[in-house]
Amino acid sequence: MTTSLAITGLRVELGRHMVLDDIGLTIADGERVALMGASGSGKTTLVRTIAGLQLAIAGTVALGGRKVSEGRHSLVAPSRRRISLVFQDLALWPHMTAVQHLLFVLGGQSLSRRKADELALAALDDVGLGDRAGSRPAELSGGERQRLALARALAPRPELLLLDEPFASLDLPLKLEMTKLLRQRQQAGGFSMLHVTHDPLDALRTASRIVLLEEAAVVFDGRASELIRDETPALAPIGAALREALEVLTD
Amino acid sequence: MRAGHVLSGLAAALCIIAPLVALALMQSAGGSAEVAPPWFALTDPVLRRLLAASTAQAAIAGAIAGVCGLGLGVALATVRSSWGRAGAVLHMLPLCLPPYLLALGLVHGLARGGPVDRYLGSSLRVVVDGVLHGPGGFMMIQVLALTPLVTLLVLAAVRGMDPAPVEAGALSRGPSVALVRIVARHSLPAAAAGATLVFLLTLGEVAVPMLLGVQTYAGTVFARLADLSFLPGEALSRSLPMVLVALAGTATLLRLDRGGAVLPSARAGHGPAPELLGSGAIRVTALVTAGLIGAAPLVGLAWMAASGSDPLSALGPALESVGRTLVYMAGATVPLVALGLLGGHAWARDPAKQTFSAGAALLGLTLPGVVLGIGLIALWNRPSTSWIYGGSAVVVLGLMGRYLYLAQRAFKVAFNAVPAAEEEAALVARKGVPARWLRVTAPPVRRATLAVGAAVALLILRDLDTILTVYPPGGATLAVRILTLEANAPPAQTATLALLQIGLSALLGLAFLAAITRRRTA
Amino acid sequence: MTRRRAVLIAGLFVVTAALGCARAPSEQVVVYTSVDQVFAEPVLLAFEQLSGINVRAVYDTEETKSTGVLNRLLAESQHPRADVFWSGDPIRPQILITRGLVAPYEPASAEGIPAAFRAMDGTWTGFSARARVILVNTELVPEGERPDSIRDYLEPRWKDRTAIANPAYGTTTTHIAALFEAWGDEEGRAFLTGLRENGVRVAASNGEVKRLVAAGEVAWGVVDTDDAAVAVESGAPVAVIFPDDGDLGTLVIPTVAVRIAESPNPGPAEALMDYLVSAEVERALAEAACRQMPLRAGVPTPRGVRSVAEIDAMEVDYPTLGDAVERLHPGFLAWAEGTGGP
Repeated sequence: MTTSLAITGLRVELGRHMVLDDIGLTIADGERVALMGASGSGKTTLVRTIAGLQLAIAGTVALGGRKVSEGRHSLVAPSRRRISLVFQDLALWPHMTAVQHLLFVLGGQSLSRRKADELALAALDDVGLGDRAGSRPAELSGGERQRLALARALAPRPELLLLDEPFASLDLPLKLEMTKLLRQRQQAGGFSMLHVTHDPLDALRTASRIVLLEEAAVVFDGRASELIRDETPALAPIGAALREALEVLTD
Repeated sequence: MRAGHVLSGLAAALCIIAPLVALALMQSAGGSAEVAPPWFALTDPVLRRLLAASTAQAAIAGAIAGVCGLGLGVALATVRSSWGRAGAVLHMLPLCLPPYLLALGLVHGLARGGPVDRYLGSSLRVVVDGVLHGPGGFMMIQVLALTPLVTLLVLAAVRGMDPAPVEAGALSRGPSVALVRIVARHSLPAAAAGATLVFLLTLGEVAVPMLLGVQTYAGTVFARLADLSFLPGEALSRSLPMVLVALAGTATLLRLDRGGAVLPSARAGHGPAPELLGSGAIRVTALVTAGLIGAAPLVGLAWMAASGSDPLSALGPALESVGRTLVYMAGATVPLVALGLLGGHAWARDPAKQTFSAGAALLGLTLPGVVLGIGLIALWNRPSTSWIYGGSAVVVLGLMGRYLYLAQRAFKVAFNAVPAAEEEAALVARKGVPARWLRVTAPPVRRATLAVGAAVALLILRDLDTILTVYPPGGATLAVRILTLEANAPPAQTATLALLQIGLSALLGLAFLAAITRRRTA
Repeated sequence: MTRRRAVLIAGLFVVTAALGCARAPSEQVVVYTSVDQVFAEPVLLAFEQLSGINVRAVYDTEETKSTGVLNRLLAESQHPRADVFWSGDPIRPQILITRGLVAPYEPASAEGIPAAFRAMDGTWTGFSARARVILVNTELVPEGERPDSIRDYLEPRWKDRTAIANPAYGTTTTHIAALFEAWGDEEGRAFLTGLRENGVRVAASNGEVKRLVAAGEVAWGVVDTDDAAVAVESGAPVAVIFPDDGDLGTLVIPTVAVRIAESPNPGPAEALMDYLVSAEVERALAEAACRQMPLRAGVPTPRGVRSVAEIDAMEVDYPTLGDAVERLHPGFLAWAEGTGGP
């Protein structure tokens, strides 16, 4: 199995605070991983470091077998890492229409105008926004904005999709709709996924593996079923939360 | 370090630091005078008093402009009245003239035989003239000239606010309370920022106090490079305490910036609906009153123009200077907007790395223009750089040094209101810096770009201090021509040219409004 | 705004700016002048039309409102840009001569200029003068009570009723320095102290003094003859008095032309100097609103304009006076700023 993401010995400081300390993480091609942890545990920092938006002070990050950063040096620019990131507040561009969002991200590839239009509209169709191509984010509903953010992230066909709590502010029906859509797109696209979430429901619905961060370190890395059965005191709360989420799902 | 940091640092180094270093190295032509150390101004009791007095005058002018501008900006943003708008336009007109021309208009308006003398009586004229030729007059002129700056900033802040809190306040406590405790409160940072700018510009003003016979600290700096004095080292040395005072004022500006947008961004709301806030009779009255006050020096100038014979004969010979003005304006506005955009963006995203260029740019704004001007001569008057010194380029460099701070700060504030995540999304999604800049980074500040461009162009149009020292022979602007002709030219001709200056500025303002309005309806 | 429109506008700006940087034609002369633009410009335009040489001028402003072209000349001394300095007084050129920034040139048209008003070595040539006169408001001061001496500034009856331009600038500097030379430093200092004690209002410029007198804010003040002529012409209730007639005499201030050393256009510079010091220009300046006084005898003048030969002129050696101004000026500046005195 080839490796989509390989992190070794990663250390990241923000100010004088060690946010990530000697982190190691591997994600195989096509694997879906949920990154969980309390607020301030370093989840967003890890995602931003993988994306190249944050520099580490030590350690390496490799994507698709290619080293993209080593120590304090970024070896590959964020736009060339073949990753996509869905931001917590979506970070849509308010002056662009939905289709312009897609055309912008496809613009970096050598595509003809016609081909780019085709791909952009197809990407919007895939998330059910085909009839909202000419709308700006302010004209879309909350759910439609989520879909647009997802379509923008998936249009360039990334090898690794990073999601930084994009569903945190959604109500339950919308959250279920979006996690379902995400799973469908992941199965269709075959990309790997690292989904940052504090919601056990999201984790169970979108990921086959859970990584738990606590106080700048990885304290658990395994399947949800293992975490549910783990009786380590530090992991008991999250295990209980997963159990409850599972009951919700099976209900 | 972003490209914006580097470019703005290079611009500040080239346009401000390098000339000042060249000035410091220049041999003083006044043989016997030794250069006093920078702390001389703080140890000599007379100069210390003068520095304190000048600082106080600038602070008072800033405070009054801040309070008036806050009220007028809120009023303008919250009324729908033709009278109010007309008053606002008249209120803005003084911004189109170098302050010393406003002073001239008032002086002549108050002259024997002038409108005040004729219609209001000599005793009033003498009293007001007495006040005018003193510190009170100086502060009054500065307030008149620069309050519109504050008004515009407050207007933008109110127009950009979310109307929901205002609506909630008006429904629960009534429109007056909402106006004062929500709308005005929201606009305080903008008013304070404007007041600080008024403070800085007043501290460095030279022409107005000299015309009115008021001694200022900036005047003593100027005197070291004026007429028979040629003491560049001493001028620079004396400037430094002024710069310290200005830095303190600027620290205030930086604190205010943390609050939020002072200039409109693409994220701007549309402000509270005027209908919600009452009939606005008091606000309209305030605007009309401000307009009448703003028009007073212009009435003086118009009176001057109409009182003499053949005032229009001044227009023909002035056409070339109008052309030159537009050349310098074009030549300096584009790089200032570009550097402001890049530098302001870098400043917003990574403030710590902008310290050098922001500090240097502040020097350019605060020092009397003659100090920078002589420095430009010292730096560029060489055979190898004739192509710079001999033409418009040296003027453009001087203007860039003068207004770089304002351009960068305005954009910094605009970018503060734009989430960094939007740019990060583009950084991850698309390679190519130009594409990211043109399609993601710049569009949210499109309106701010227009506003900064218009503001910079207007400042250049009325600039005297910077251009006066370095303009190429035969290359005087209209503002300079008015100044040089003012000595003994028929007052009617001087006044006519001053009115022409206002007309040009008004055209610029109209063009800006048309561009803003078109964008809104597009 | 569409991208295309923005690019078009930016391009227009760039082209306009580039046009502004275009080099001027080669046959040109650059003149810096501290003579009021309203009087100097017509003379320079006339020269342009006569000679076909393009004149590029830098004008000064009223004394206190600019660095003064002198400072620009000093700042540019390493690589001069100006060809000719046409000064409104003989002092500023002395500063340039002392520093070796002037090239001697005796204009052929200078014949007839008295020797007191030009240098034997050709470094400077005076022409068309002003004088320092008393301008008195006729409504405030009846004819029998008018001042007739510079010393009247110290008379108790004039306390708080007079004005003088700032001694740190312009022709007033020259005048006060001439008094120091004539009276000695001690009496000169006493005079300055007396000005303060007698409440003499220190105005920003001669033009401001003119305005104050014309408006009746003060009873009288000392100005230059061109300022006085403008006030008379405008119909203000003023009269002009040439002070110290039969005593110290009236200070005459000739305008002076000098050729700048190592200037870029030497040939045109000499042509301009020939023109400036000619009788034709003296006549033109006498007929202009400045009513300047010809130095040559026999130059026709309008009614009311005297030539220098017709007044009791103060005896002055201008180069020596120039040295005195340089020596005393820092003290005048300190006096004006209240931090000391000469």
